[in-house]
Amino acid sequence: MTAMFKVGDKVTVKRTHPPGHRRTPFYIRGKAGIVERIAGNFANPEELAYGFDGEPRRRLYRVRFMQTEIWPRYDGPAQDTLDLEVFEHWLEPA
Amino acid sequence: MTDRRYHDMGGEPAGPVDPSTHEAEPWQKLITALRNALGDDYCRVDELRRALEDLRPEDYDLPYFERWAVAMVNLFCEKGLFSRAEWDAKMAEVRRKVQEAA
Repeated sequence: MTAMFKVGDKVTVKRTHPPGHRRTPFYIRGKAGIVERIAGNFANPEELAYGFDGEPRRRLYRVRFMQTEIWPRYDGPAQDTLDLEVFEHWLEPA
Repeated sequence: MTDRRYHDMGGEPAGPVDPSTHEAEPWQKLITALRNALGDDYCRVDELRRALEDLRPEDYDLPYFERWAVAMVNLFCEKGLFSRAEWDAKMAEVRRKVQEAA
């Protein structure tokens, strides 16, 4: 299984709102960031949450976002970032 | 912004954080032990999270362990450990005993 993205790639979190247990918080959907690292492959918690085995495993990325990109009224330092772990199936090339 | 689910509150105004510490009540330790004992067979952490997120807002707003209790009961009914009717009957019995003792 090859990774869809590599460190340094610009990615956008899918702006979608499917029902059920989802591991991607609302506030980050539709936002763009940079892949900081590939965190590994993990059983899919969105399936584990309903009693399934979570297979096939999903690739998890740590993505770095600018705080000013996430919050329209962010008034902290412009260089502030937020790191969030996001599964590959939530990401698209930016 | 109507697609945000109730529990998914990151970035929403939440008021001040209470930093004080407190000792856990015995029943709070018991429910944690119960969760751990039932573990992956009946109360996997992802399932518990899902059950918590599916609570009605009025239940989601309960204190931490009360919220756990409601979610765990929903999960155990779903998994057939007991029926809702059995649970309701047991709760009525407990309530009656507490009132008699008062």
